[in-house]
Amino acid sequence: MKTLACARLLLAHDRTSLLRLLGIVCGVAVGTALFLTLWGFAQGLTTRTERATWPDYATDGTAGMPAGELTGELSSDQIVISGNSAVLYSSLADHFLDKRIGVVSIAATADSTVAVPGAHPLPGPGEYLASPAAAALIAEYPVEALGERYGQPAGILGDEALGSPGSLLILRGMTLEEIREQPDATVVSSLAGKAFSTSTFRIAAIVGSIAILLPVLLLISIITRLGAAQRSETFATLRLIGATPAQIARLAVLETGVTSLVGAVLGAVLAWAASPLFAQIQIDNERFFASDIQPSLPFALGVALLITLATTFVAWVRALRSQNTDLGASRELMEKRPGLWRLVPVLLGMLALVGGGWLSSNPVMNLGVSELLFGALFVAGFAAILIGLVLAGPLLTWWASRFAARFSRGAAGVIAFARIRQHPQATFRAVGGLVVAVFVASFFFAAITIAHVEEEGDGRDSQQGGAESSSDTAGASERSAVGASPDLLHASLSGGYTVADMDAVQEQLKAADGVTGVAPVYYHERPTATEEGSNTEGEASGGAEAGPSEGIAVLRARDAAVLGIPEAEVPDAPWIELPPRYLPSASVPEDADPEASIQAAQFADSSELRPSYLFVGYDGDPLMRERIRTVLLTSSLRLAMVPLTIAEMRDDGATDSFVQEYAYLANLGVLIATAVSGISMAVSTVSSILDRRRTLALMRLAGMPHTTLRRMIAAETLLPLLVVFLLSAGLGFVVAQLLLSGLTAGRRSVIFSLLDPTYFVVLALSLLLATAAILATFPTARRSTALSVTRFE
Amino acid sequence: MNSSAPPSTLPGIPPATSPGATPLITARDLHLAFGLTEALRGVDLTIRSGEILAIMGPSGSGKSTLLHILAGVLVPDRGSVVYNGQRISTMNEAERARLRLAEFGFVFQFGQLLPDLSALDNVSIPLLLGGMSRREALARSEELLGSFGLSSCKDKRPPQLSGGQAQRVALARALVAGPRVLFADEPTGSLDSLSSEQVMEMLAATVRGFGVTLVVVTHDARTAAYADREVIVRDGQIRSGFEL
Repeated sequence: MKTLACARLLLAHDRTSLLRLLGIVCGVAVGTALFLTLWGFAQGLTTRTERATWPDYATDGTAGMPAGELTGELSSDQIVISGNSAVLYSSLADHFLDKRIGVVSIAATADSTVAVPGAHPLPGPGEYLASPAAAALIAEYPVEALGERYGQPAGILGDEALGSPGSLLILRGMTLEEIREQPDATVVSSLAGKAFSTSTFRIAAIVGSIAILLPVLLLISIITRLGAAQRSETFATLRLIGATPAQIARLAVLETGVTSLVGAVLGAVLAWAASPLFAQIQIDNERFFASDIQPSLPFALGVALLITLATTFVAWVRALRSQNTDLGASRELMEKRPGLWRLVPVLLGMLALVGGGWLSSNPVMNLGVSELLFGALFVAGFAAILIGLVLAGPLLTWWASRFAARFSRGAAGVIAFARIRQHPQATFRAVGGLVVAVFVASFFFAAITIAHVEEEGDGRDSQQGGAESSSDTAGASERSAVGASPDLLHASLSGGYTVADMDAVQEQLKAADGVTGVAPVYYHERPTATEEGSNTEGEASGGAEAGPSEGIAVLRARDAAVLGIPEAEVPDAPWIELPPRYLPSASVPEDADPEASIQAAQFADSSELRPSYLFVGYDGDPLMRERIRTVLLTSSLRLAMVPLTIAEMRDDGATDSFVQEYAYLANLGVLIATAVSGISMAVSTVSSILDRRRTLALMRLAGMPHTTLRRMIAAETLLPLLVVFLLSAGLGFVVAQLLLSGLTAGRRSVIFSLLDPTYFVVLALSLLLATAAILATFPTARRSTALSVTRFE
Repeated sequence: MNSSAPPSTLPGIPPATSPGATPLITARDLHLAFGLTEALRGVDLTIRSGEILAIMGPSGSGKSTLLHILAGVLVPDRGSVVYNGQRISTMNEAERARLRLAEFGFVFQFGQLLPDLSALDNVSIPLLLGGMSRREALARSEELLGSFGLSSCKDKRPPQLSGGQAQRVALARALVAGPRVLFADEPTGSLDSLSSEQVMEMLAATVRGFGVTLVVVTHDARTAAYADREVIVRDGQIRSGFEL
C-alpha cells in the first residue's frame, strides 16, 4: 500500500475529514503559539530582571567595597579591586509625580576599563544619560520640576541598561570626590544584574514555568485526538480490506505528522511574528522589549519539531495498539480499569518535596550536599505531582462514577455515569486542563501569600538587594508616620550640620514658592538607664527615635504646625519631643505608644542636637512638590535619601518585592491556563459527542428529548470536574506549603489569612468557564445528533 | 445466539385488543426531496392496528424515508400523516419526540444500543425517559429480558453480546415502554440467516400476541414473509398493485 496515495484517497472529497484535519492544524498552531509565547514571557522576565537589577547589586555591598573606606586624594591606584580597574558608584530611587526614577551616579578614573551598561561613553561630571522614557519625561515638564536634578543631558542610555522600554533610569556623572560623599557609594569592578539572587528563585521560576506550560501541552494532546472514533472506523475498514497494522500505523503517522507539523510551524511563526504585539502586555506595570520575549526562530522551529515528533509518536503507538483485529469491525476500544499505580507519581512527588525540604533544613546541607540536588528534588517533585494529577484523575473519576451511579435516577445520569465508568480516561481528559489550572491557581495563590509578608516589611527573601531596606522603611513608615501630614516631604539628613545651619536653611526654604512650612527635626541622645534621674520626661515620651543608641526626636515648638500637630497639644516650651507617629523612621519600636502625648524636651545645650530630618510642607500641588524636591536635591544639603512623602515611601515598599512581580506572572499564567483549559474542555466534550453521534442520534430518534442529552453532557463533564476540582485545590495548597517551607528551610509557610480574594474569583471563573464550555457544546451536540445523522452516518 | 420461545407475556405491555380492525396510521400524498433528489413522490398508505407491514424495495427507493416520515422522524414537504387521529406532520419537533417516546418503538440494523450501558440499563432507558423510577424500570426491564431468554446477558455490554443477542436486547428496549407501533429498519440486516430467522420469529410472535403494529423495512423476502402484507417502494412511489 502506498501510504501517501492511500491518505490522499481517504481525504480527497471527504469534507468532514478535511475539516477535522483543519481543526487539528489550527489547534496545534494555537497551542504551539501559546507555548512559545508563555515560554517567551518566562524567559523575558528573567532577562528583564537580570538587566534591570544592575544598579541594585552594586549597592548591596556584596559586589564591592564601601567608598567610605577610601581616604585622601583619590587616584587610579586606589580605585582597584583585586588588581582590576573599578569605578565609584551609587544608586538611589528618585520620585517624580507618581513615578519612580532610578538614579545611578558614577565616577571613574580616566583609565577605567569598567563597562557600564548602556553608557557609551560615560557621562562626565555634571552630565547625565537618560533612558528614552526618562528623557521624554524630563522633556515634558519644566526643568525646575525635574531636569535640573541631574545636570546637563549628554545623551540616551542604551537598552542594555534597561529592564523595559518604559524604564525610567538616569546615569549621572560625578567626580570621584563628589560621589565619595554619596550615601551607599561603593567601589565596584563590574556592574551586572542577576536574574535570580538565590537558587530559591530559580527553582520557583522553573516550577512556575512548568505549571503554566503543562495545560498548553494538554490542549495540544486533546486537539490531536479530534475525531478519534471516526478515524478508527476508517482504519478498521482498511484493515478489513487487507491493510496490515504497520501500514495503518504509517497512515496514522503520516496524517498526524503532516497536520501537526503544519500546525506547529504555523504556531511557531505566529509566536515569533506576534511577539512585538505581546511585548506590549504589562507585567508589574512594565512592558517588554520584543527581543526579550521573542523566541529565536531556530528555537521556535525546534519546539515545533518536538511537538510534531511527540504527537506523531503518540499517534503511531495508538494506531498500533488499536489494530488488534483484522475483521474490520469498528468495535470500540475498551479502556482498561484505571489501576492504583496512577496514584504513585503524586505520592512520589510529595515524597520528593518532603525530602527536598528535609535536605534544605537539615545540617546535612553543610556536609557538601549540593543545592542542585534539593533544587532538582523540588522541580522533579512538582513536575511529578502535576503530571501525577493528570494520571490520577481517571482513577478518581472512575471511583466517583461508581459511587454516583448508585444514586442516579434519570436516563441522563444512567447514560452519563456508565459512560464515565467505561471511559474514565476520555471523560477526565475533557476536564484535565481545568483541573490542572485549578491546581496551578491554588498553588500560586497559596505561594504568593509570601509576597504579602514581604510587603509588610519582612524582606528576608527579597530578590532585589535594595528592596529589603526600602521595604523595611515603608513598613515602619506605616507604623510610625500616621500622624504626619500627607503634603509633607521628608528629607533625611546625613549629618554634619548645626542648629544654626538648619535655621538658615529653614529661612531660605520658607521663601521658596509653594512651601507652606519647614521644620527641622533633631536627634538628641537621651540619658541611658545608668544616667537617668535628672531627665525623666524623655523616658515618659515613649522613646522616640529609639535605636541602637537610645535617643529622642525634638523640634522647635513653633514648627509643630508644619507637621500637622494641633496647637492645643503643643506644650508651652521652646523645644518639644516628637512622638514616633510623626516620624518616617525605620527604627521606631513596634511597641511605641501610638497615642503618646507630646512632652517638652529637656536638654542642656542645643549643641547636643544633631539635625536628622527636614520636613517641608507644600500647598498640595504635585508639580509644586516636585519643584521643592528639585530645590532640595540640587541644594548643598547632604541628604541621606531622596525627600519623599509618606505615600511614596509606602509605594516603594509595595513595588519592590520580587515575589510580587512573579505573582503578576503567576496570575497571568493562571488566567491563560484557565482559558486554554476551557477551550480544551469544550473541544474534548464536543469530540466525545461526535464519537457517539450515531447512537445518540438513534436515541433521539426513539424519543430522547434534548434536555436529556444536555443533562447527560453536563453530568459527564461536571462529575469528574467537581471531584478532582476540590482535590486539586487542596493539593495545590499542600504542595505550596511543602515547597515554601522547603525552599526557605522552614522559615516560610502558607498564610491562609493572607489568601488573595482574587483566588476565589479565579475558582469561580473556572467554574463559570466550565459551565460556559458545557453550554457552548449544546448547539453542536444538537446538530451532531440530528435525526438525519442516522440516515447518512 | 441462544434461541428461545417468544414471550407469552410482556411485563407492562397491555394485551392486544382487536388487531387489524381499524386504520392506525394514514399517510396521504407524501412528498419529500433531499436537495434535487425526490425521495418520495406522492405516497398513499394506510396501516391498520395490529398488522405487520413490510415495506420493501431496492436500495435508494425511499423505503427508509417513508418509515421515518410515518414515525414522525422526518416531516414531509407535502402531504399528511395521521396517527390515531393526531396529525403528526404538523406537530413540532418536541411533540413528535414525545409521541415517539410514548407510542412508538424502534429497531435498527446496528449501532442502536448505547455501548457503555449494560443490556439491562439499555432496556431501562425508555422507561427512565418516560419518568419511571429507576428501581421499577430495572425490575420491569429484567423481567422482559428474562422473557426474551436474555437473563444471563443482562449485565453484559453491547460489545460483549453476539449480533443476535444485541438485536433481541434492542427489541426488548423497543417494547419495554409498551408501544403501539414498532418501526423496524432492516432489523436483520446485520445478522446471519439463522439469527435473522430467530429474531423475526420472536418479533412477529411478540407483536401478534400483544396487538402491536409492526412496520418493517427490508429488502429481504424472507423477512417480509413474516408480514401480513407488503408494499414495494420504487423511485419514491408505491408501485400500484402492491399494496394488498
